[in-house]
Amino acid sequence: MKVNVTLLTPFKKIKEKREIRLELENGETFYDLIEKLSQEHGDDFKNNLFESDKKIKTSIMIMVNGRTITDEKNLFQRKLKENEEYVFCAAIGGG
Amino acid sequence: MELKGYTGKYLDIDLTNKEVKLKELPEDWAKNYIGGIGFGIKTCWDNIPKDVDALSPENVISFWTGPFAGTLVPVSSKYTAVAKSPLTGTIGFGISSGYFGAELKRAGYDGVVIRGKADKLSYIFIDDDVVQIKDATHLTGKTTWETEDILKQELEDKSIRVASIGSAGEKLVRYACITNAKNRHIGRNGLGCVMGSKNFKALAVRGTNEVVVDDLKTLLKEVKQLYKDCRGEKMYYGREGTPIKILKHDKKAVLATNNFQKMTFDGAENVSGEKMMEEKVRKIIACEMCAVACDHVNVIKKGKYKGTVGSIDFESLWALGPLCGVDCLDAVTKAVQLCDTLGTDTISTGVTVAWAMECYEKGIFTKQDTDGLELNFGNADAMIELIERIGNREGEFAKMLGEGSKLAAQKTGKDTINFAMQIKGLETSAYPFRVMQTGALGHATCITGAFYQRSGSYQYDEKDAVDRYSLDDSRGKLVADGEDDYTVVDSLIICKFSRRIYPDKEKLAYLWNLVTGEKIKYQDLLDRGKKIYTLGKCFNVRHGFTRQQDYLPKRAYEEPINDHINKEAVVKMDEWDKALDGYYEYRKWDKKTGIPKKETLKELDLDDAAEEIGV
Ligand code: SF4
Repeated sequence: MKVNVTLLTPFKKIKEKREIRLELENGETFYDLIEKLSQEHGDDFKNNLFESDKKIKTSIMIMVNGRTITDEKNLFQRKLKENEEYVFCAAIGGG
Repeated sequence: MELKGYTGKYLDIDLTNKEVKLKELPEDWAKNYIGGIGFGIKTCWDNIPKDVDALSPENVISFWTGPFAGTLVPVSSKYTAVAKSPLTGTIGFGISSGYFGAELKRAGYDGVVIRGKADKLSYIFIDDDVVQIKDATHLTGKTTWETEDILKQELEDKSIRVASIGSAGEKLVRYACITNAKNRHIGRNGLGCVMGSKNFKALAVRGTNEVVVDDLKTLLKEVKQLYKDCRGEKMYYGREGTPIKILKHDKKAVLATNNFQKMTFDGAENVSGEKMMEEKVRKIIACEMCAVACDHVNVIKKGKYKGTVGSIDFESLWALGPLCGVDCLDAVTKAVQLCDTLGTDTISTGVTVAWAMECYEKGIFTKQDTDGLELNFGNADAMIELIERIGNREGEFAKMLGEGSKLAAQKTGKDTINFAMQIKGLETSAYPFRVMQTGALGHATCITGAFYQRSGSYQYDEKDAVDRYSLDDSRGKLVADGEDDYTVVDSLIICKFSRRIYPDKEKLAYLWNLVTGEKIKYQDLLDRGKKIYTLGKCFNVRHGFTRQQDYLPKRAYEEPINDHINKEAVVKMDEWDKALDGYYEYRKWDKKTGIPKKETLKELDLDDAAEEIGV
């Protein structure tokens, strides 16, 4: 199964790409996705995403198929689905 | 004046008779209207009767600071200009930053009220307690940047602060802005046009007095921490800047493109904040007493637009980029520079040009109508040429566009009003109605026309805290509470980018306590916010506004958006009506008319307003 991941500010690109397609096993969860991204991306990804206690930083926003996810608890257990779009970006409002 | 932070004085200047009066700020104003837009709305209410044309000498424009300006409180060097808007006919105001607000306060004034019309182009120089109305005919046609430089030179002081208009204001472009510190603007509602109508080119200020606060020692302690917070991790405004929202909005499919016909933009990467930061930003500037520093200045080093300098935030980048189908950062920077120097609001300019582009692509305008411009979406050169013509009011077509999208569409006919993306005449900001419907409601109830900064209700959609594709009667509360809250912020006046450093609103009330000496809770400030907003609404009612004007352009109800994320996204009229009902009910206004009820006004101690609007 493949999902699409886009890394925007403050995350750095992976291999010079903002958008990547990742292969995962059926039944894998959002948590597995994060593990996989961390492997590819190293500590930088994790440091940008997590507070020291593995809570997602309030300065970060995650969107799934255009929807902002605020329910962190369920997010980690969320089963990935084929062709879903995951976006990691900054929680910034205003203009 | 019992409360500290204020000077307790303002200037009342009549340009017709060249009369300058020093007035005492009424004692009850601080406790009822806070400052900033609160004082401005009250001034308009007291001075602009029914039927006054916004461009007549009878319109009154006033400039105000709040109690925090000139103190050590971070992000507080703000000022506002308030008048009847020539673009909407409603109350109109905008807020700008820089150094001007603090300087005015140090000159000894909480505000300046300007009435009448000068017999020739003039500027006002406030030098502490010496106030002069001076000839500005030598500044005719000068850009805002030139005006600032010339005045500093001629007054022989580089640190004088100047708020001025460019040729757009002089020539009465209805969305002309007022500019200070070159890149800071009172952009919305055409306040620069009101200045132009009064032959009033600039307000220059030098202030050397101190501003007194109630508890300096404790304030200093608080301020130290706030400065640290300004540099905190969440403060993207300073590091990356708001332009990083381009890619985020594109991914969420809420990036209004080609005059709101699409919600994603193929060229988004080319005009992304990320690319801008990497390749174009050369300077980041802060306002007085601000450690956030959010002003990102692009310098174009090579190519066609070599030498262009422009300060760009998300809204400007969007309006002159994706909205017009333009995917070139150099061109957007050039367009922004033209708006800033000729003196037009970037949002209104972009939305009006985008409307004209859609008309052109639909064959409603031919090359002959556009005075030779091929106005297809994405034609950056044509956009730039048109913006220059609008600012200088050259040619019939650009002149028409200088009236704003609503009047231009009414003149053009052929149902083009359906896609003139404005409410009450004010061109809308970047939060698209059909896919961010709580935001849409906030844009529609907004007393100054379609603007996101008066309630911030789009944030519920941005976070998907509500179903952003539908509406119901519960959304009105979200909008109204946001309006009251933002009214407090705009009256204090505190920069909106500071919201993350005051997550606990009681902190703001505490700062109020330390600065003014009045011990109150944030709820007390909110009550004042509600009173101010309601008085602004009454001003609109006095000038003929009812529920009827709280509707979106037809496109929002009739043309569903479909793409990989949005499915048949459209605002349903029955839901819209329910949402409006919910808003008025929560506000205790009459549902049928959208007008505040007598008992509501009485509760807010606005009995005279009730009498005046006949409820
Ligand atoms: S955040 Fe930006 S606009 Fe606000 S006060 Fe600071 S520098 Fe000025």
